[in-house]
Formats: sequence, structure tokens, C-alpha cells
Amino acid sequence: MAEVRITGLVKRFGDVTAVRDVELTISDGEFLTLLGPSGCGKTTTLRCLAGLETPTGGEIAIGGDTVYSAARGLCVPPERRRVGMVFQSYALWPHLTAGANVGYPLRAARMAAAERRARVAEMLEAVGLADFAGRYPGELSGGQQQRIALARAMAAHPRLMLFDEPLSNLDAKLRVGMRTAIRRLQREIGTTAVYVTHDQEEAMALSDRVVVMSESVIQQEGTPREVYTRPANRFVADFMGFENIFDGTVGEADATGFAFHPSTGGPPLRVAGPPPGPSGSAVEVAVRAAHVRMVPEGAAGEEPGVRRAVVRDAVYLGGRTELTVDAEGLPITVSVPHGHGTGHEDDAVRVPRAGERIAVTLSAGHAVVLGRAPIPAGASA
Amino acid sequence: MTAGGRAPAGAAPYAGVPRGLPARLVARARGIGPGAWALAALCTVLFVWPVSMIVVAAFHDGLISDPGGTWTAGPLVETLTDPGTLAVLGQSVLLAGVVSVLSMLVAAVFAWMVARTDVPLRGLVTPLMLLTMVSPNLFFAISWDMLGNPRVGLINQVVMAMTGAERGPIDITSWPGLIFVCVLKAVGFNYFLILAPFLAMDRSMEEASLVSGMGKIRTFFRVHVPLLAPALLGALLLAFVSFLEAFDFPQIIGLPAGIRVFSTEIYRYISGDAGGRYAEASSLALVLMVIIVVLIAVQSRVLGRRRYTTMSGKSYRTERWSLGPVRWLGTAMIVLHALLALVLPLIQLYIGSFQSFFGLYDNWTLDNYRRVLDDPDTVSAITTTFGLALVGGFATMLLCVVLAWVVRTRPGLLSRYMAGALWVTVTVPGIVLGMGIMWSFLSVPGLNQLYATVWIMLIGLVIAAVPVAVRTAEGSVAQIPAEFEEAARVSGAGRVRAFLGLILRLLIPSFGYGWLVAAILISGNLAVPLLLASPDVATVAIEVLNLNRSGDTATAAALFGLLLAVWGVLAVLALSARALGRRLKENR
Repeated sequence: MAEVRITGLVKRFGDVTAVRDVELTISDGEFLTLLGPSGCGKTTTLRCLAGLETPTGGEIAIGGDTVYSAARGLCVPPERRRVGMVFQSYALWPHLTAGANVGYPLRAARMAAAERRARVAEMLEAVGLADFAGRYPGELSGGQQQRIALARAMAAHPRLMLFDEPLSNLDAKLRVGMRTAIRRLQREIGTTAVYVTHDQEEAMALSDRVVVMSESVIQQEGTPREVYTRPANRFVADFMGFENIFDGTVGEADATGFAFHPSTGGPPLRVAGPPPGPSGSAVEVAVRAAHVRMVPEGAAGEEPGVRRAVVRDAVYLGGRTELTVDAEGLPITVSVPHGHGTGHEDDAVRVPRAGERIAVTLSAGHAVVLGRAPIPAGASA
Repeated sequence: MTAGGRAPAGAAPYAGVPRGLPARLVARARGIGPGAWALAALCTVLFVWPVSMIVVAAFHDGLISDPGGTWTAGPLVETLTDPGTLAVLGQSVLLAGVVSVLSMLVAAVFAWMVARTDVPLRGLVTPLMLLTMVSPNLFFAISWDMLGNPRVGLINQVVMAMTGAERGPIDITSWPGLIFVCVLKAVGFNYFLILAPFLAMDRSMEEASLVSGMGKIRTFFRVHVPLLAPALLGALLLAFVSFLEAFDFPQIIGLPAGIRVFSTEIYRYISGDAGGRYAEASSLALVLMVIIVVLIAVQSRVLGRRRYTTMSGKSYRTERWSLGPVRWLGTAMIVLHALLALVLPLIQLYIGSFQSFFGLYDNWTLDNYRRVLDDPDTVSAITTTFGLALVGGFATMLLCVVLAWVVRTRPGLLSRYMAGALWVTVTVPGIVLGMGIMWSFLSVPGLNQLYATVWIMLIGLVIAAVPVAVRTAEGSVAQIPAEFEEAARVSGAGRVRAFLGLILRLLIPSFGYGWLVAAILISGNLAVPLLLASPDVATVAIEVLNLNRSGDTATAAALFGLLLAVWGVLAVLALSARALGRRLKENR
């Protein structure tokens, strides 16, 4: 019912293009996250959905109703789109009590008073603030304000919920709790949700589907697992926290994978899967530090894909130690987990220290071959 | 970011009457140095004592210094029961009420245009309002008195020439005329009181309402109005108070129309046709002050209840409202206001100053200027005025900056007392202040020698300029973190040295601006010098009033025109010096 269809969405502010040719279909009841760094166009896209921003071009339909169409010169104002929105600054009205804030959308929909009271009580109950109806926002903590804002946005059972970085002003512990509350409420009400964040963990914990944006365009969309393990291009890999991204060329290929020659020279590394092109063609490969394995030093030169390395730096990070090594001219970040993850000296795997000689290899199955970043239409080549 | 952080200094002196737990405050006060005590004593002498003397004088028959006078409540009772007092009260409230409401509406429209819309020429509004705010009341009173003259005023002349009528349609000496001129001045004042809340309002508040399903009109009444109400109400009340005690406008424009308000009546009791009735004057002043205190107390009570902290958070930059063709209506409003408040009055003032007799349009002459500059009395008034303005303006700003800094950085009993003393000055109209100073100096042997000298006038003018200057000072002091002083002291500088060497130096640019504003304010003040002047010591404002009263309008215009011209030149010089300084800094 409340399927959202965005076609060819463009938003320009003067000379600056904030959103460029965004195509997106969000199915009914889906929880979709727009993920990206600040200024990537994710919030502008969200505000175009809410009707707070008038796009420059394209078309938006919510639940089959076209709410914006550049071709037809149509733009439905926000108050007639039947959406709910949670703002980053909460935007609770300080002159209204928590209960009146939650009841506001119901009042706007001209719901009868008795029914409205019941719904407000139900919503406050759902966010665990049943006893706070009479409080003013100034008398609530940040987390409580956020929950009131959530209750308000969902009170009228909107067909589409919009979240604009709602958790960025909360501390880490509260965030996890709020995440659960948001997901639970969204499922209960069965609404479609679009969530904007720059926090990849938040995006993965909440979403059915993640859309990574950068430079005003969509870089990749997929399930959290796909985006996390198989980034489509260099930007997504970097943003999703891949510590190692190498430039190089394709070498010999066989049934299980191919040899990868880093541009810094030296013996090849092994990457699983079919090569992206003929031998000698350029390729980018990304590997997480956790997927670089230490092997016995003697293996270097014996097994394919193993390189000798010298530890330049070792940083203790609690559950693991992160090594920066020089692998025959190629700098690689290696993550060494401690035994049982407790970080105690006595149960630790022996972690090499700075200056020690080791040998490393990539876990071939986890090395990702990156594609080209989409070239924004209209951008000069 | 948090509401519980260091309180903004801007609100401190007006936050309410000092109160608190005496024991705790006394304990805190022990750590206060002699400098703070001296400052508090100065506050007492300057602010508290003159006001107390008004109260005392209300119960004293005859001049306060007169040993033959008797103590009596008679005049007070008489004043309170006199139906004439009720009429004065009624007219004062009518004037203040209408002016404050109208000017607030106009100011709100201007502030909204500047903060939210795409009206062309909106960039002119703030400089325009600044000029209206710093221009002396006397400027508007004198020039509109000329401009709105039914026979020879510029506007009526134009209308008469076009219609061939005998008399112009506009007579400024009337209720509508008085209200109109007061509104012109008040808009500038109110604009700056409400611009900040308009600019500071979180856009997501209204966006949340729109998304919730409320249309623009319902959002306006349910979100904008209640959110801005505290700021608008506060400004409204302040405007009401300042026009309840207005003197210049009613004296020049209102009296000929038979309009009598508190300040003009008090003046009449002292030196007008009913002169010498000092106890009655004090009693009337007392009534006025009680009303003002009650109003301010009500205001802080009403506003204190709910806490309208604007939630912080990254606010999304949004485009201005596009008003379409309606925006030209806004431009028209801006141009019209500029014409009525500044351009036409200036033109009329200078045209008038070149007429051999005000209203004769065929005999242009420099005689008026010659007369002004040949008369030793007016020349001495000009030098006295500029001396008072420059010295007094400096003293006022210095006092206000020091007080604002102390009140902000040293919480405790003494600084609460100082904030309270500063607050007292807001409640005292100029004419009442002049009276209070007169009483307090006359009653002390030795100090009474100062009476009728330029010094007593200086003191009076400084006190009168404090309420405005302290706002400028607080604004600039608030921009300097208290940590700067702490850092200086940790580095080994003493408290006074840290203030003089560091804080004051950082304040120099805004100090200069405040000095200029205070100086202009002082030079245009009419009420205070009127009571404290003597035949030997007069100011331009007094001479202008006297010339205007005796019908020599053209000479009055020339004299006032000279004053404005000098300020104009000084302001231009100051601005270019600043621009030059900036350029030198950039080139370095």
C-alpha cells in the first residue's frame, strides 16, 4: 500500500546539486536506510520525501499517490502527505506538554477527543513514558525527548515514517535502546520507513536495505550484509571501514581465483573468484584488517600469495591488536584478535611487537574486487 | 548548549528583583574585594539614592532642601484622589498602549521579512532601524512638528499645491499625529528587541508541525504565535513602559493638542505654569514608578513560568520564503518607512533651517545659522553638549562594561545588588530622574554647591543613558568567555590588571560603538537637562525647545541641524576609521 517510488529525483540549491538522479523503490513495510557522510544528499532526499523541500526535477509517489512531479508541476505540501518525521533536533514544541506534542498530529487529523486521548496514552505507553504526559519538553532528558518525538511522529499511524539522524544527539548506550524501540514500533504499526544516518552500525542494525550515498548520488544499495561484505566501489569500501584498499593489476587466473599484483610491486597476492578482466588489466581490491592472516614465516616464498612483512607499529585495542606492517613495500593493516577476546595478557595469542618479522596473506575469499564509482550524470568527465 | 550552563549575561539585570538565601549570600560575600564594594557604593549613589529621594520628597512640603518644609502625606493623598491624575493616567496609558501595540506589529512584520522572506531591499531594514533607534526623540518631535504643520508643513504644502485647498489634511498636533510620530520612533526600538527571537527560532519546529498535518495557517497560530509570544510580550511591555514615561513627544507635539501625560505634568508641576509644586510632582512620579515596577514584575512573573529553551541541534539550512509578487509590497513598506522616519524629516529640518521664517518658501537665507553661531549662548550650548556627550558617553560605557563584567563573572550578593540597582534605572523616566538628582544633591550640604553646574548635568545624563548602554555592554561582554580572565589570572595577572589589560582591550571595538550611541543619546536628551540646567549651563536640546516654544522654528531647525550634521560627520569618520583599520589588518 505505502510503496514509495522515487524516479529521477534532482534537487539543486543555486549552482549546487544536492541530489542527482536518485532512483529508488521502497516496498511496503520496508525499513530503508540512507547512509553516507554529511553533505552527501541523504537528508535532502528525505526532506524531498517529506515535502519540506521542493525538488528541482523527477517524480515521487507515496502509496500510489504522486506527491511530486516536475513534469506535471505537482507538489503536495507536507501536511497532506500523511507522513511522520523524527527530527535530529527533536523539534518538540516547548510550549506544549509531552502529551500535547504526541496528540498534535491527531488534532491536525481532527480526531475526536476521546479517541485522541486513548491514542496518546497508547503511544506514550509504547515508548515507555506513560507517566510523563504532563511534563514539558524542557523537563525531560534528551533520551526521553527523543522518545516523545518518536511517539509523536508515529501517533497518526502515518503510511511513511521519516527519520533524520534521530539518534545522533544521544549517547552510545541510549542509542542501542532507541534503535530497538524504533524497529519494534515500525513493525507494530506496519509502516514503511526511511532512515537517514551516517553511522554504519546503526544502519545495519535497523535496516532491511541500506542505500549508500555520496556526492549526491547513490553508490550502492543492498542488504546490510551485502553492503558490509561486498562494497561496490572504493568509496563504499572506505566508508564501510575497509582498512586496506590496494591498486594493482590482474595476473594469472585459475578455477578458484586469480593472482593480484599490487602496484607497489613484489610477489602477487591471491584473490578468490573470477578475475574482473584479462591479465594485465587494472583492478582495485579491498580487504578488512581482520581478513589478513599471519602465517608462519617459513611459508613466505613457498606458498602463493604469502608475503614477508615487518611490523612497523602495534596498537592495543582491547579485544584485538592492530598492526601496521610493511609487506615487501606494501603497507597493510592487520588485525590480530586476542584469545577469547578478553584482552588479558595470560590468555593472549602471542602478538608480534614493532620491529618483528612475520609473514601475511589475504583470506582470498574475503578480498573484494571493487568496481568503478558511478560517474554522476552531468558531471564533467 | 545546555540550559543549565553559564547564564547569558544579556538577561541578568532585568531578570527580576534580586532575591535569595541571605545566609548563603552573606557567606559568599565575605570573599569580595574592596573594588566590588566601591562599585556597589557607586551604584547606590548613582542609581538608588536619587530614586529614594523621589519617594522621600513626595512626603515633604516645599523644596527638600528647605528647612522650613513640613513632613506630610497631604500632597500624595491629594494627587491620588485628584480626578486630574486619573485623566493623566488615562491619556498616558492610551498613548503608551496604542503606540506599543502598533509599533510592535510593524516591527514584527519587518523582523519577519528580514528573517524569513525574499523581499527585495530587506538588507536596508537593519541599518534603517539602527538609525531610527539612535536618532534622538527630539529629532522626530521637532522635524515632524514642522513636517506635519497644517499650513506650512512640507507634506501639506505638496497636497495643497495639488488640490488647491486652503489647509493641508494633516495636523500633527493631534492624537493620531502624536501616536504616529511615537510609532515611527518605537518601531526602531522594538525591531531590535524582537529580531533575535525571529532569527533564533528553530525551523524544524514549524516543519514538524507541517509534517504532522497542520497547514501553514494553523501552524502559524499553534506554533509560531505561542513560541514567539514571550519575546513579543516582553518587548511589548518594554515599549509600553518607555512610552508611558515619554517626554519629548508629548511636550512638543502633544501639549498644543491638550494631551497631558505623566512626564509633561510632572514638568508642569516643577517649572511650568503650575511651577513650584514639588511634592505634587514627586507624588505623580511615585505613581508612575509604581505602575512601571508592577508592570516589570508582572512581566518577569509571566515569562519566568515556562522555560522556552530552544533545543540545540544542527539546523538544516533552508531557503527563504518566496513571496511572489507580494514581496514588492514588503519593499514598498521598507521604502515608505525610510521616507517617513528619516528622509522626509531630514529634508524638512534642513529646508526649514534655510527659511527666513519657517513656512516662507521664497526667501532662502543663512541667517538662522548665523544667528546660532553669533549668539554666545547657543555656541556655549553646543560646546557644552558635545563635551557632555563625549565625556558622559565614555563614562557611561565604562561604568556599564565594568558592571556588566562584574555581574556576569562574580555571582553573589553584591553583584545581585548591582544588577538590581541597574534595573532601577529602567523604571525611572528622565524627567523623574532629573528631579531625583536635584533632590538628592540639594539635600546634602557641600554637594548642593554642584547644583546648576555642568557636573550635576553630567551625572544625570550618564544615569539616563545607562539603561540603553548597559544592553550594548552586556552584548559585547557576553561574547568574551570568562575563561579569558581566568587564563590571565592563572598566568599571574591581577584581577584589575586582567580586566584592564585584556578584557577591556578585547572590548574596544564594541566599546567604541557603545560610546557613540551613548553620546548621541546624551546629546539628544531633553528631559534630564531641562530640570538640571541653569541660565549659565544649557544644552542644544534645551535651546531647541526654547526656540521652538517661542515660535522661532527656523532657528531651532538650524541649531538641531548643526547638531545632527556634526554627529553625521563623526559617525562617517568613525566608520571609515574602522574600515581603514580592517584593511590595514588584512594587508599586514
